[in-house]
Amino acid sequence: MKAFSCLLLFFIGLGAALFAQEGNSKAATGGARPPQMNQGFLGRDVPVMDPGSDTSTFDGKLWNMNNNRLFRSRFEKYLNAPAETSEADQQYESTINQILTLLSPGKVTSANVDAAWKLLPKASEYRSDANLCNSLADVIYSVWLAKNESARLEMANRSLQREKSALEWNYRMNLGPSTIASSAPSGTNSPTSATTLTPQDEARVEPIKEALSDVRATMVNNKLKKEASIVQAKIDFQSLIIQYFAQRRFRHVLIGTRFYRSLFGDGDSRLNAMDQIASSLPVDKDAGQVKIKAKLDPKIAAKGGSGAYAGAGTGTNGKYASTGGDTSSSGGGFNAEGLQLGVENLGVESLISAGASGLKALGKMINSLGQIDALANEAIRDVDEGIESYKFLLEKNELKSATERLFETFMMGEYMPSVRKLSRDDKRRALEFTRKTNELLAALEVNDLTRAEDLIKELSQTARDFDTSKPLAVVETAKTVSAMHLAKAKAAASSGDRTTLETELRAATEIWPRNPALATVSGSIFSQTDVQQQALNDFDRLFAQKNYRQIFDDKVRYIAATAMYPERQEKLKTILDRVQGAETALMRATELAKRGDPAGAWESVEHGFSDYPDDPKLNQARADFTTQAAEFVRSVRTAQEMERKQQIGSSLAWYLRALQDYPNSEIARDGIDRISAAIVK
Amino acid sequence: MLVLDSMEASLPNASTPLLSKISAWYPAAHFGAILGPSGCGKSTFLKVIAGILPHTDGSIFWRGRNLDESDLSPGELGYVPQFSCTQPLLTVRENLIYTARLRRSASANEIETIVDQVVEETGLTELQDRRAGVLSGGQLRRLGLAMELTTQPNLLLADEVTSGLDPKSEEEITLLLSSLAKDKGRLVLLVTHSLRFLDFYDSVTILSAGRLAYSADPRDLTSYFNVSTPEDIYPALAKRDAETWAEEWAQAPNPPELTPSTVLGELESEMSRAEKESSFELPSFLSQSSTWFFRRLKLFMRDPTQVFLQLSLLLVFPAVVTLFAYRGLPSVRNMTMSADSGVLDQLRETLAFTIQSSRIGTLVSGLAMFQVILLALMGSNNSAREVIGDRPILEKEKLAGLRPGATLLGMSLFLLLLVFLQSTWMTLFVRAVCQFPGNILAQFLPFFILTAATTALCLAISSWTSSSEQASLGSLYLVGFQLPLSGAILALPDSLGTLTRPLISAYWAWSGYLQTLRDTRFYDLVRAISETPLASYSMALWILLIHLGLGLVFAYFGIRRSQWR
Amino acid sequence: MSRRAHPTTPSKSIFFVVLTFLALAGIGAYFFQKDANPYRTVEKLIPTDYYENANSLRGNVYQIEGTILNSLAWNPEKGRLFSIRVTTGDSKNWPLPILIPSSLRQINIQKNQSYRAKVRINDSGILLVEEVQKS
Repeated sequence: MKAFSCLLLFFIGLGAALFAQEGNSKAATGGARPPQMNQGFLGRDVPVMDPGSDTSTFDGKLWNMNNNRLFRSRFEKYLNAPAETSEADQQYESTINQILTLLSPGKVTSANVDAAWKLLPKASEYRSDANLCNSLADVIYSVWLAKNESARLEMANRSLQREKSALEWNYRMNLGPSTIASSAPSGTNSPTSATTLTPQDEARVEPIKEALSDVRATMVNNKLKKEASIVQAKIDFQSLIIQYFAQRRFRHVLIGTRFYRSLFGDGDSRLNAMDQIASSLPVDKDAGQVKIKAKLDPKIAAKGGSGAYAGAGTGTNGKYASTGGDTSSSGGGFNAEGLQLGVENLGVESLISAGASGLKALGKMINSLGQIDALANEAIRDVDEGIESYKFLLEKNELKSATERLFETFMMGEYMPSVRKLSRDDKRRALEFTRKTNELLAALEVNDLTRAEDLIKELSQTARDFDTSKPLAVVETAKTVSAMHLAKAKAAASSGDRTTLETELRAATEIWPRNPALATVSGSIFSQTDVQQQALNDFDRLFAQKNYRQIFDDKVRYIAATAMYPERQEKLKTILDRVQGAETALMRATELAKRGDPAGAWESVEHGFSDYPDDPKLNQARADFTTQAAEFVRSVRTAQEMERKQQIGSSLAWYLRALQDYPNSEIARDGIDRISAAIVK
Repeated sequence: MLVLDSMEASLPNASTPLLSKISAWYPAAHFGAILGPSGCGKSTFLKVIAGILPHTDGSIFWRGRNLDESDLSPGELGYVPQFSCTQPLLTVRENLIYTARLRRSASANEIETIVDQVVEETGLTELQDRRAGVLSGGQLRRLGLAMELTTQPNLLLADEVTSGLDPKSEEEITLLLSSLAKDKGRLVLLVTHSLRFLDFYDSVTILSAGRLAYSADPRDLTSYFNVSTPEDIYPALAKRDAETWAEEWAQAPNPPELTPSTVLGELESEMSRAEKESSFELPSFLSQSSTWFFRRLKLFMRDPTQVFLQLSLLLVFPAVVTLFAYRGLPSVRNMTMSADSGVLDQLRETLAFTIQSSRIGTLVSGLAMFQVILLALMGSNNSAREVIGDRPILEKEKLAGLRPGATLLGMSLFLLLLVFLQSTWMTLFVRAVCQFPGNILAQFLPFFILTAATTALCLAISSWTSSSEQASLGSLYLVGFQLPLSGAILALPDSLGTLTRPLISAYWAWSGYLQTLRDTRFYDLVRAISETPLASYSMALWILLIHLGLGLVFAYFGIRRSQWR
Repeated sequence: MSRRAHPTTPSKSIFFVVLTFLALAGIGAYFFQKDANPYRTVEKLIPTDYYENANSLRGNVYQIEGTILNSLAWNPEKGRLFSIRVTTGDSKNWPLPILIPSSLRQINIQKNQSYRAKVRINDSGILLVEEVQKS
């Protein structure tokens, strides 16, 4: 239970740390609270769900909804898996028990040890063993090899000793009396005595001297090798045990420690490996004190984990192994359970590095193998109790607590037979509850309050102990706030304040995207926005197509849509002006044509045409009026043609004629003015 | 000696002739009376001898010459008609003097002498300063005789000069005529229906229904007709038809042609003829013209009604014209030339200009045409009765030697005076009041020629009609049709206009007058409103002159032709 | 056998007199009509030709008669440019541009006035007035 709460606190700490580090600029990781939310009414009071940590923030408080997603999936996998009650499972179980029985204290003989050792490969054949027993067998075997090697080196040194004595003899024999007298005590003083040697002596003694030194060196080496191989074997063995502990393979830990004791006989002695690791690390005294305190008082540790030692969170989050250098300041805050779970947190793929790092941390707390053994036994008992407790709670229909218990148990003793052998039906109910809660989380995550509300109701029925008050509070609050935003949006819409409208609508949407009221309310208001975008798209397309007429026909729509886009607005204005010009020309033309003045109509259209030559309507009208006012049009055209040909007189005459046909003609008038001015110039 | 040989006279298309197979002779220094009941052809008989009516058969010989070949000269014949040929507004003496001046080429003194002589001869000495209009019937007959006597004719024909007179006057006239016949071998024939004073006549010729019943000494009259008193002759004539009487007279033995008295008479007649041929001469053309002119002028002056009428027309007509523009012609506002102003402005301006041009153009055109028409009216008034009014006198004077051309000239001179006054005053007054621009002489000319031409044309009408009413009506039509046919008010269809315009003087005068405004805007305005083309100035004058000429020519022929009642 | 007081009306002479007068009128009309158009010897401008290709008529002299429509432009040195409406026989109206050079500045040109002019087509194809009078 403690472990679970520690885990919880750890993750709370993690979330807080994330917030502290990343600040509110990274909205995506922090639970998507947009910056502008801070400014409005209720801005800070809006409940925020953080999917990363499954915590929601409301009124300044954090509330953990459930668990980390990583665990959740793993847990769900477990819940879905069938109970491991197959024949193989039972055989494996019995094999392990057999080994444990063979190695149980009091029964340890070399024959039992050999028998147990022989069972290890057999146990390893089962899938659920994951070859752990094999590894153990290998380590034991290498211990044995190391013991043989040291015996061989003993014998080699003995022979070297004999060779050494012979060489010393030879050396003394070859030296003169003077030299012997002066340099007898030790070879180490030879350089000083050598000064007294004659060059002939030197040459004679030199080979013996070299051989003697070689033998000495080899002897020292062999002595070192012998010690080293035993120590190495111990360290390897200890490391494996610690690793198994870290992997929560508590029964393998028990097997390991029992083998260890039988092999080295110093079972209660201090762990060499730990010492070695600890001494090689730069130890911070203060951290060490805290570490001790933490160990004695978990509360301090919890505080440290959530508050002061924020960095620890990051440390356990995968980066730790590579930056092993600063372990002292972080790892210290954890007790064994915390570490255990923390390591588990990393998953299978990072087990080895986690193990290494776990070792380092563990090395400072665990002094003897007996301690590990005790811890393993404790854990096994804890797991069995947890399963029992789960079953009891299940009977009482208190699904929430039951699931929590199962989760805790699972986290601690994932590979324990009691956990593994839990029947599928029993797991199923927890699964359903978990799923529901997950769904609730998901619903809250996407602010689907309606669904969340339904789920809460459902959960409260299936799980008597499910506390609905918090999620309901979140839902209700969100609903209220959303409604308030909608109300404001409505007000803004009616007053035409688009900026506010948009802000409020966005706020309401963010709080409760699937709010049915939102759909209806914004149906009217919001449709504007959609329509606006559509209109803008249409506008751009029509503009590209030069279909100004279409834009003009729908101008109200585009005027509204482009209101906030000055560039488009400018375009639209130009277009409207042009089409308006064309339209005016057309209307005028129609009016004139009605009055029986096709020439005027034609000219009006002609004016409009120069503004907007692509308009099909204008073109049609132009063609029509050209035939209706054929004489006038011919005059104008001929005049223009003549003017181009520098036929000034004829051109002027034709213009005059056009003016005679249609005295209002501006084209003719302009032409006349132009040519006349040129003539008298 | 006057010899009638089977003389016949008949009206065209008449079944019975007026006179038939009349053969008679009258010696010189003879006073013969033509008798017969009313309607027997007495006056016709006289007119045929005078040449006023043509004889359709037979021959008339005077002094041995056939009158068909060589007519009686104006000095040889004196013819006193039934009606009075005097000018009532002139005095007896003036009448005689003008008559003498028209008939005789003589100096003023000679004329005075002749007149004195005639006055004395006819016993008008006491009356010579009286106006003819106040004379009694007998006195008027005497004046008529006196006027004939101014030429000292050898043949004096008097038609009913004694009719309707009191017995005393009748006797005096008869005696006067009798005495005239004794003078200078003169043959006097008197038509009368009175059977009194038969003893005064040298011969009596009795006609019955155009047939000669008797022509011989009056003393044989009662025995021939087998009646006791001459008063019974007419009833006796009525008892048998004229044919029978004529045949009976034809079979009767002719009286001897040569008697001592006739021979003496012939001798005296021959002598007086020689004397006369040396002294008698017709006045010159111009003399006759001027005489006519002055007499006409005097007559005009003597007639206050006519003077007043003419003066009224002269003054009132121009005044009426100026009523339409008594403040002067309105000024013409020109259109702006710039095309810069808007079409609406231009249209407005054009409209204003059109209104103005129609108003001013109509006014100017109308004023011109009004003047023309009023002048034409005055012209027609001048001459409508000029010829026809005194046609009998004219005919009588023509018979007495007055040349038609001289008459026309005299008339024309007088009318010219009127025309000049009228056209001048019209031009000046209207121009002054209405402030017409342009050359004044150029404007006067078409008006003047127009008035003259209208006057001439109306003179022609007057000379060709048989009554004053006809003449008046004709002239009125002439003027009345000028206005509509001129095209000044309403344009005629092109073809019709082309046909009629040459005949319409008013059009040419109007055109000519308007052409004088050519350099002003009024011309343009008139052009703008009038669809009728305007003739050029010279053309207008030319055509008006042609009209004038034609009028005069026709007037000449009209005056020349004979028109006895 | 006519006697003095009874002259026959000489219808023949009247006829001849009338004929003479008609002849006179005709001759006069002929002369005066000619007199009305001082440029009668000059060829008349055919508006359609001018409309067709004014430049091809350059240097030619024509007579035209028409009504002034408008003043188009004015320059104290070059003169006045007017539009003049020429009506052809088929009663079609043809507006034409005429340039009245400054040498003819004493002539008072008014809108709606009719003029008859002798024109030369100048280098730019414009009708340049050489002589002009009101018609």
